Amino acid sequence: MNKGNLLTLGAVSLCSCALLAAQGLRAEEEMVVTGDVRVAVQNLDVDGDAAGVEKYRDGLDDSAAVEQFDLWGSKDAFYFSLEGRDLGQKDQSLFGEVGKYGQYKLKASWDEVPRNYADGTYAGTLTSGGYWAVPNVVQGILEQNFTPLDQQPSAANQRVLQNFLLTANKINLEQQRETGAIELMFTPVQNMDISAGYARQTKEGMRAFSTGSYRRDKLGAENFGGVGENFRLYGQEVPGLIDNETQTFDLGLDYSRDNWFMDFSYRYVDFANNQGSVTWDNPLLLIGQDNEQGGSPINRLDQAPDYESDTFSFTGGIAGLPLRSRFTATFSRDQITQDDDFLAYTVNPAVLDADGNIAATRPLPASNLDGDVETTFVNLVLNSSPLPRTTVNLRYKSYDYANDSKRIDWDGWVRIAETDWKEADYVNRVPEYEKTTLALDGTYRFGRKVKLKAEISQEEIDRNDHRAADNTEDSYGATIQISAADWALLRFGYRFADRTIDGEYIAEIEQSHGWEETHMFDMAERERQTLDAYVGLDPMDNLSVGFNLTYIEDEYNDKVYGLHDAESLLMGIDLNYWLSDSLQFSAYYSREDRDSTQLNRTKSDNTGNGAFEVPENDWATDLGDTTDALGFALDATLIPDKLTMALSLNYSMGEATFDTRNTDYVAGITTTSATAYPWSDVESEMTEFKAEFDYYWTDQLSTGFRYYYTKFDLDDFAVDNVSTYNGNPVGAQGNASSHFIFMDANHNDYDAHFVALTLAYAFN
Amino acid sequence: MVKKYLQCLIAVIVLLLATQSMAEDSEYAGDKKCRRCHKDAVTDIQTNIHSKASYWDAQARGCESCHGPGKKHTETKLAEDILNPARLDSEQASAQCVSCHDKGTRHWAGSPHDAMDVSCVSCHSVHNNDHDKMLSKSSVDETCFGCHAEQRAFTLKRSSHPLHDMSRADGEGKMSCTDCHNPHGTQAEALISANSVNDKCYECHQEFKAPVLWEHSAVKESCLNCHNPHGSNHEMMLVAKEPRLCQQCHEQGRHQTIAGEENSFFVTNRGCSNCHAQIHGSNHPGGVKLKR
Repeated sequence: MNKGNLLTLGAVSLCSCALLAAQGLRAEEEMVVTGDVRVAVQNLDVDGDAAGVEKYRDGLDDSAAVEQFDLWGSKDAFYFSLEGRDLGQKDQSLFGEVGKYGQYKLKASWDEVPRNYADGTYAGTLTSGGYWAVPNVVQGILEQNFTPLDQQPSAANQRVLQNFLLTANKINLEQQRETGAIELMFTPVQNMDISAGYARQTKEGMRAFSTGSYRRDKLGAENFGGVGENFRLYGQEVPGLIDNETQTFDLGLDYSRDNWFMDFSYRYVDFANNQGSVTWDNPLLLIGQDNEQGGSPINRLDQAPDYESDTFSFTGGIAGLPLRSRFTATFSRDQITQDDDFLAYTVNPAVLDADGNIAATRPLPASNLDGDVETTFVNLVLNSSPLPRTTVNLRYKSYDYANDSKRIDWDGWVRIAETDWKEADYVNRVPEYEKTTLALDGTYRFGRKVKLKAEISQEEIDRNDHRAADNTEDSYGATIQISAADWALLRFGYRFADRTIDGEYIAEIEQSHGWEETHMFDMAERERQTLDAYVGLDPMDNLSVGFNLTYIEDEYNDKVYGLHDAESLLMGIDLNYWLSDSLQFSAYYSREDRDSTQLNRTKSDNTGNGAFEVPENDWATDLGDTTDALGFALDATLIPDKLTMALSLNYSMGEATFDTRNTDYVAGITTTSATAYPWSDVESEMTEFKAEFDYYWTDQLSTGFRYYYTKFDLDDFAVDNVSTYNGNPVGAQGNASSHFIFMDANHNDYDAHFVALTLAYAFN
Repeated sequence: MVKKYLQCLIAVIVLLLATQSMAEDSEYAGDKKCRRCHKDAVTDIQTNIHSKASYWDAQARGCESCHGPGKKHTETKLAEDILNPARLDSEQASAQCVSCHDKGTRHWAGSPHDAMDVSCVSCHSVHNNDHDKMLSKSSVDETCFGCHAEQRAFTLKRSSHPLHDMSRADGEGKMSCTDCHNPHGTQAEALISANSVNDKCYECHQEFKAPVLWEHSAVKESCLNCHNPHGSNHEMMLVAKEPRLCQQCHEQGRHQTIAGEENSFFVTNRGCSNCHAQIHGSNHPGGVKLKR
């Protein structure tokens, strides 16, 4: 090659390289790290229910806390971030992420959520295996001095129990949920992401549950007075240990190209309950009873069983179809298996079966349920813009809950709180259902300002249970949206839905429910009307107002018993006003009104051998539920770049009313248990006020003062009337010779002041 | 001679190709030119994650990824010569974002927000680095309450999920609206980010998912038959107080049909659940009546 050629080649090469390099050249970045930290010295002063103040939080009374910690760094494609909240407290959380943009990321997190309840009183002591034991001597004393379960307790006998409970243990009821997770995602090629993750969640603690028994003086429904054939209740609230663990494994693969995508995922869940049952002594009974309805000296309740589930999911979509269409499909199958061994029929060794054998050791017809549920979910959506200013969506959705769990033939079981053998042929129900929805909606835009949407859908629910109805619900709706001005958006919508029941159910309900003629509201024939309204106004650059309202009215078949009608009104108004760059005000008000009416009929005690066909025993209840909430917030910069202030107030008042009335009361015919009595309104009131001042010594360093006041008041007869022993309130309907031992662990009123001094530093 | 002409021709072709490539780029102005007039906006972008977009897509062009080619705009200075997603109609505005953020928006098209002209820029402000996820408002919940004002009251009710905590500077609780809902569109109703309402509840309340021996069939069909997850004036987020809630379905016995006084054991404390502890179902052979 001669010199001239070399020169030409060299020049061309240089120019090309320069051009190419100019397009792809990226200057190397410096590592940029920013972050901030805020620590606080705190104090909490509570008058009343301290557990209520810290229902889902912790550490308000800690002397020092790291409230917030953020760290973020980046250099070229590499980055990391770390965020922490309330570090060192029971509601702490920590999130970390590191990766290279467009290549991979590794995420790790730790989160804790407390759930605090008021302390409860309990007569037993926790021993190994989750068994709440009451010393035999105590059981003996109470059994001897307290009333036998088939007689009315004397006041003196009741005092024995009450005095004993005064010295009983205080149980700290609280739960703690902790979740640790890690996830890796990487992008081997452009448009493809592969991910794998693992999470472990534990829940530990204690919760109160209540379980009871009853005793009938006479079996059958003839010739008796009072309610429930002298239906005496004996119950106890018990602390139940919680100790379970959920492990979740996730795998995912997502790929997209041009107009289409495919997402695959797999999830495996393993739920292990390390406290499968709770066992407890009955403080009122020492000696085991058989066929003496009304209580066992020892009891055992089964807690949630272990299970595993595998879920495969696929979502795919393709755009760019004719008529500007796009099709998206989701298919998901989840298989849940549960084969926890059954507990024995009973833990009470005194109960004998119909053959005189000890029920506790009687062989079970099966060792476990062999539970096997498979849910199949299909969702198909076709979006299209076939004509200018027109959009059409066609949707098909199906959720199939298929249950292949064993149907087991039981020829008896231990009932009435493990004191009595019931000889009966019975098969456990294995409910299944399939819910299918087909919907079509279309939108047409009249110019730029008006948009009209019309929709029609049909939902079918097919159920397999012989007591269950199949439903079809047809709904029709329309929404109009008007951009009345650049600063005003109005939207109004109306929907009507008509739910009907298949004819077969009506015949079945007459067979199984005909004598009480009730319906299940979630399956009943129903007409529903829904009205939605939204008004969004931005009349000035610094003012925005939003108003919305939803009204729902449900009408049921009022020829049967149960829920007859229900209506709800939800409305809210939200205002934001920027008075200046340094002053912003916001306020809101919302109201919720829910009203419903139900009709019930009590079975007769005296007429017709305890029949249902006594209309004088009808009673109806109007339930009302109202909540009003309002609040404001004011954010201000008092001294530019130096001093800021934030004030906020929330106030909420809720009221629930219960208006029960007899619709056809006749003295001498209307039974005592059908007689309507007034219930007090349930009222709750929540007030929160916060004032926060922050002073910026420099751009990075600030100190702050925060004051938070919260007050909660609850008037609820259901909990206000509760004490550790509730025994036979004279004349109380349904309580003849009845006793209940409660833990009395209900949240009560509180009034709390919280103060924090904070120090914050932002670095970059 | 022929050889010499051929070499020149090759050189010209190569240069032309290179020049053509540059000519295609000439519709774009580059961030430096944008910065001359829009310094603050460019600084905002360059200090948030969008400045790294080229690591996902080599064709990303900084400001002009969203605003389109800006060369003409830099010459005319006219607003109509550049795209502004905030001024586009919702479909066009969202399309700008979805062109990159396709992974999180698989179900966006035809979703309730899309259908009602709520676009990406209704909630997000790409130039705003003040809040997480580039939200225009201070938090997820405040963003939702801007349109769903009536939902704010639920967080203050007697029983609710931990959605807010005013003792904190940011006022945020352990949960937010997006723990259950995905505003970007989902496969289920009400923008629930799971295949069904129950599947969403089971993500935290795992103990209720498995089949059990004695089922309360309304439970496995929908948790909403008895609970309002947004909050309630009653205990346990129940939609009505026991026994009235239960009596809306159950009429088959005697004690089930009692009208009840305040201190009746069927009414006080937990109502029907005073005895029927296993209301969600039981796996105990003796749990036929959901007491064991």
